[in-house]
Amino acid sequence: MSVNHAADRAGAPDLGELRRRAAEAARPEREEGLIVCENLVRIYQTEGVEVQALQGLDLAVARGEMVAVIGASGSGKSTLLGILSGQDVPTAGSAEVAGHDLLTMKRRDRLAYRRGTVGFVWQQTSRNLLPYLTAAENVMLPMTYAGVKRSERRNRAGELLDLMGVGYCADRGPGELSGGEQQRVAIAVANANRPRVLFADEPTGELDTATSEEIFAALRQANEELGVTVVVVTHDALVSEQVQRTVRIRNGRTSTEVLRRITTDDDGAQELTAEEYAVLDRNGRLQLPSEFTERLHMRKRVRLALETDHIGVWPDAAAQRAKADADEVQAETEGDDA
Amino acid sequence: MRAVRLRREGPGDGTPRRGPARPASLRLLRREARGDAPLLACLAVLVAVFTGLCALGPVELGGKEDQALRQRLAAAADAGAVLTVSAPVELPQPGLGAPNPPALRTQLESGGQSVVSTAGRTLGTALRPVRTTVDYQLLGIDSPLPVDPRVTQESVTLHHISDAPAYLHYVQGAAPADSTPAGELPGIALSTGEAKLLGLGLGQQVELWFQATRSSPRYEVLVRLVGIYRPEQEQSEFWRQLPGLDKPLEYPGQLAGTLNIAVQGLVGADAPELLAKQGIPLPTVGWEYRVALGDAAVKQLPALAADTRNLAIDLNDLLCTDSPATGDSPCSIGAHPSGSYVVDDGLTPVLTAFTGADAQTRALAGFAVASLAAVGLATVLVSVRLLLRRRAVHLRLQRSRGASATGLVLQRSLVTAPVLLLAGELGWRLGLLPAPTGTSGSPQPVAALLGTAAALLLVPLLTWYAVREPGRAREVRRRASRRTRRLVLEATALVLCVGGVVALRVRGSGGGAGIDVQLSLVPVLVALVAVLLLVRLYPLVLGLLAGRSRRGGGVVAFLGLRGAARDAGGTSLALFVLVITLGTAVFGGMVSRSVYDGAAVGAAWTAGADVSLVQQGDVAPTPVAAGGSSPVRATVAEYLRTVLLTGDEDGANLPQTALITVDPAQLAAADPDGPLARALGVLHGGKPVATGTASATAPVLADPGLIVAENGESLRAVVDSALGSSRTALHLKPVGALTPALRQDPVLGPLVAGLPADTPVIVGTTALEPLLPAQQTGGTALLLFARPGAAPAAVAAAAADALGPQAQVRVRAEVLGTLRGDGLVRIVDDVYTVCSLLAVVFGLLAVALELVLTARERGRTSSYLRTLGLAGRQAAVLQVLQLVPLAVAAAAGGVLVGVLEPRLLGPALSISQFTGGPAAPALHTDYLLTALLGAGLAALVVCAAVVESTVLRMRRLGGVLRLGEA
Ligand SMILES: Nc1ncnc2c1ncn2[C@@H]1O[C@H](COP(=O)(O)OP(=O)(O)O)[C@@H](O)[C@H]1O
Ligand SMILES: [Mg+2]
Repeated sequence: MSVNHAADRAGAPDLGELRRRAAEAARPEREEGLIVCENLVRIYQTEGVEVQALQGLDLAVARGEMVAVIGASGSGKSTLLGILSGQDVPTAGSAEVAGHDLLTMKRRDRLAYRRGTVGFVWQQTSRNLLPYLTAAENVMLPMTYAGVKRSERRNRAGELLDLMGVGYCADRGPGELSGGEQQRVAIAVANANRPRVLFADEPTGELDTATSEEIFAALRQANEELGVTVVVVTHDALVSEQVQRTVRIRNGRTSTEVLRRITTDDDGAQELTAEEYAVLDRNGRLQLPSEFTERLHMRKRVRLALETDHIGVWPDAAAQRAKADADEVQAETEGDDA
Repeated sequence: MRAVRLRREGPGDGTPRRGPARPASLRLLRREARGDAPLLACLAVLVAVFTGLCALGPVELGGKEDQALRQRLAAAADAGAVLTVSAPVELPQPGLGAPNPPALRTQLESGGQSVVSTAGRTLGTALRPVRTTVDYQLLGIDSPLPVDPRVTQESVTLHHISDAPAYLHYVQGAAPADSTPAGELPGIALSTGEAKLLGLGLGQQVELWFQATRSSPRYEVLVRLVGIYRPEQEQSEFWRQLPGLDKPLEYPGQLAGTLNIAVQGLVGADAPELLAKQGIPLPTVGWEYRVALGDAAVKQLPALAADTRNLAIDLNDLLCTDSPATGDSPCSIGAHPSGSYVVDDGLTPVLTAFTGADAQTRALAGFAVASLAAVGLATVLVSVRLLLRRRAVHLRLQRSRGASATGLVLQRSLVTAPVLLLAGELGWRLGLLPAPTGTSGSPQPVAALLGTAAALLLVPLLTWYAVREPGRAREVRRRASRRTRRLVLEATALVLCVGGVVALRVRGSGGGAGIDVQLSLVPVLVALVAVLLLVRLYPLVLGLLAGRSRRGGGVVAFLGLRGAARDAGGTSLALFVLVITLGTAVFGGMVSRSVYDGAAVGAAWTAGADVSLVQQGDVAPTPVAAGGSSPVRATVAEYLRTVLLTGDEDGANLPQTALITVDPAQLAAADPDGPLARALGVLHGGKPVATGTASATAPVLADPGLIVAENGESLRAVVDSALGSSRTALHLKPVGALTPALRQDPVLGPLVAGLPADTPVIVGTTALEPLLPAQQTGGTALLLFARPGAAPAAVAAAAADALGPQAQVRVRAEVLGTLRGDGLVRIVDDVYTVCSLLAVVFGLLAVALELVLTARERGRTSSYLRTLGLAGRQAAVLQVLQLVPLAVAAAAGGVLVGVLEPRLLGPALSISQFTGGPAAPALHTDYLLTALLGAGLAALVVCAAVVESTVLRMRRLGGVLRLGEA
């Protein structure tokens, strides 16, 4: 959902129309996509304090897509991935991955889901692999859980490790691998049971830039060659710039999305364009970037104006006055300095 | 990077093929187990020790109980035959023309055998014949006439005692023949002393007379003195039991200034027939037994008690015929008709006392055992927690990779179960090896299985808890009720604890075989509640202290206290283990101390003084040389009589009362600080004063109940004399109350101890003695106070005959030795020592494991602080400091539990079975031991912390570098 979509619905918002929209919002109709989260809420309770890690997050990822999720530390990225990978349960909202409803999923389905539908790579290299198994054994472990035949396990583990470029590490223990090798083995492990989605939570967080590149390449390879949908949480601007879609989470909500496209201009020159979109949720909520609101001194209240092809957002009159005053003062001081 | 094409599958690409959740390969198990080896070994050792104890402990304990019972039976046998069966035998009278039955002497042995075979099986096998006796009633001596003119009455009791020859040496003549040649007089034998007193010489004819009642015919009997003996093996049990065979008894006659003499003489085995011919028909045949139990004595105890209870009935059932029609003697001894069998049962009191004391022993041992079990279980819990904590990351990883919770639980159990089962089996076998056979205790396989099962189940349970699927419902519930749940848990523990304590106090302890589970669990619950309280309180206290230290500027102290406060919840298991360990040790120390002190009180009560002589009846003691070079410093004589009281005011009859007279001057000299000595001052000598026409009125100290009943008015006391022939009346005026403290003055012990507990007691002075007749049912005690340094034996020897030969000698030191050396008391001590030691080992293990559990967290804190510039030394101090509050809390909590517990249990915890004495013994905390234990435990914990921090310090650098790692 992005602002472009919202434009289609422009029209006079009379009462009947609002009702219709409310009803439509309440309909359990889902957005298309392999991963669809709507209004996802996760509340942690620690020592009597409630932490709203996710507060109504919306996300849709199409099949085969590779999406980067970015956001400040503590914004809820890991929480989101924990829920999507079936290791945590949301408090409210809806989340569907490859047809599995993560809220109503039964215990057994959850297990099958973890075994077959999703794969996971954590940030800490040491936490992705069992230290007392070799790389190949680590890759085979999830297959054991899924009941894959022994010979097939071996073959597939070899193939996966080769694909990730760490075939030579097959018989080494994690302790004998570098951080980058460990993460690539971890990606192989995550792909062991041919998952439909691969989640990676800051997989390059502990690695240097060059190694990060390798890991990212490996992820992309998995995405392209194995056809697995990839959601990667990252801090790394380099990574996020290499994917078509970057979702930014702020305070437990998706706030903006950046879509990158390679456009060919009239001269035939290819150009990478990145457009930033704000996310409009089903209830019509929109998060305005703080740089924008601060700049215009928008606080608490804004004035909306519906135009034929867009919605204007204006600062409140009082805020406008405040801005004018501020500008004046600034102008004066600048004048004084001069 | 080499790209490899992968085979793609159809549309169902991502969905896994369903298969059974197979546990991971053996290789995985093996690899995992290798990392867990130390903890698994620790668990295995715990389980092995537990099962070993289950195998060995009860057997060993049973053996000790058996020993204690045998010890008590032996002591009882030493004091006199434990069980005597007797029956009056009827012998053919002259002229009745009855068929001549075989001689009685040929029937004695078979008679004894039939007693043994009639007794129940347990008693029958336990009976050890001591002697067979044939006893005659008192016979008057007609001639020769008394040597001493004051003697108005001479009497003799004749006995045939089967084992007497071994203890006699005939100085003149020989033992009376067992088959006297026809025509000769029956022979009797007397001791040298007796013969001399009666003025008899060897070969002299003695004329005896017998009259059953005043109206029945008087028979005269002629016998001849054929032997004069002196005792041999004087220290033997024989002479302790039958002193009268040697020493004649001289006692005052009914008329003032007259004397009576009673002697005991021996006759031959054929005397019954010979004497019967002369008209003395009914000797009593007695079989005396001691009782000895072999292996598994305690196990036989119930059957033995039942057999003993039923013995008289059994004998009379089997050896008597019911023939009310003829009115004949219904019983028989062999071919001889006899009267009913009578059992003089000295065994039942011994068994009853032992049963009571044994129940108490088990109750006390139960506390220790339950505490040890709780400590063991807590230690197992800590180890399992650590085992899982170390694997938590891996478990989570496996789970997220698709391992099922069941699979993971199975996988863990596959490693631990065989190890623990093997350990349990091994411990059991090892425990059985040294276990003695033939004791009352038997190995407890059920307990061993339960313990092993608990350890076995803890692993999968905690694993499951760690890896269970997150459930939405659970999450919501947890959010709503985590606090409530803690409160509910605490409240439950508190309610259970209070309920248990109240139930115990109401119900009391003892009774029932085996270890009382409810009783045993209460201390564990008390410790649990104490720990819950501590866990609540101690962060608060630490917070306060931390605030103070922050203002005081001690950064390290502040951080340490803060860290400790934060860890409070996590260390509660260690705290529990420590508190219960220390509580048990302190409790055991207190029990031991109380028994030790209580035994001193009990011994003082039984003996009254350093040595005392107690004689049945009121006898004037012969003076004992006191002071000077004599080992006796002072003596106090006191007399007991039973009196009937009526109120002077209302004429109401009062219950039978004991009147004790004490010489106040003697008592003041002997025991000037004693409560009774002081209280007797109000009697001002206690001389009876004649008031008007009425008989004399004497001031006394009276039981408070009597004073209340009579409003402090004087009482008329009627005292019957020894033979019931005269009664004396006098008036007693209570001028003071005989408070419980006075009544419990050890000085009164020798006389009061034998009275029923609720008998009112009146104490007067010996100034009353001239007015009071002697009573056969009364008692006389002569208390002997030793000169400092004098041996009790010397004191006893100095006054040996002061109350006649039959006086019972009680030596306080000996009584004390017996009480303190009692097998059951030693069992309690041993059980507490062993359990406390084991609990300390377990407890330290638990603490060490907890330290390892929390080490990473603490290590990270100090690593972090070191990166901020805290010196390495300070960081180490910090490490230790974080644990000091735990040590202090554990010490305080343990001491508190140990000291409070017995007070809480109150009447449920009675140790009076071990101590004797006038009242339940006071509980004495062994303060020195308690302080030592508390300090020792705290020191051990701090030591553990120091060792741990030293080890950590060596690895600190690595810790600093890997700061970010979880
Ligand atoms: N297990 C948890 N218990 C309590 N609060 C948590 C837990 N996990 C995460 N949080 C809180 O939820 C918020 C989001 O955390 P997270 O998803 O880890 O953020 P990110 O990965 O974006 O840094 C944070 O404020 C964090 O403190
Ligand atoms: Mg994160």
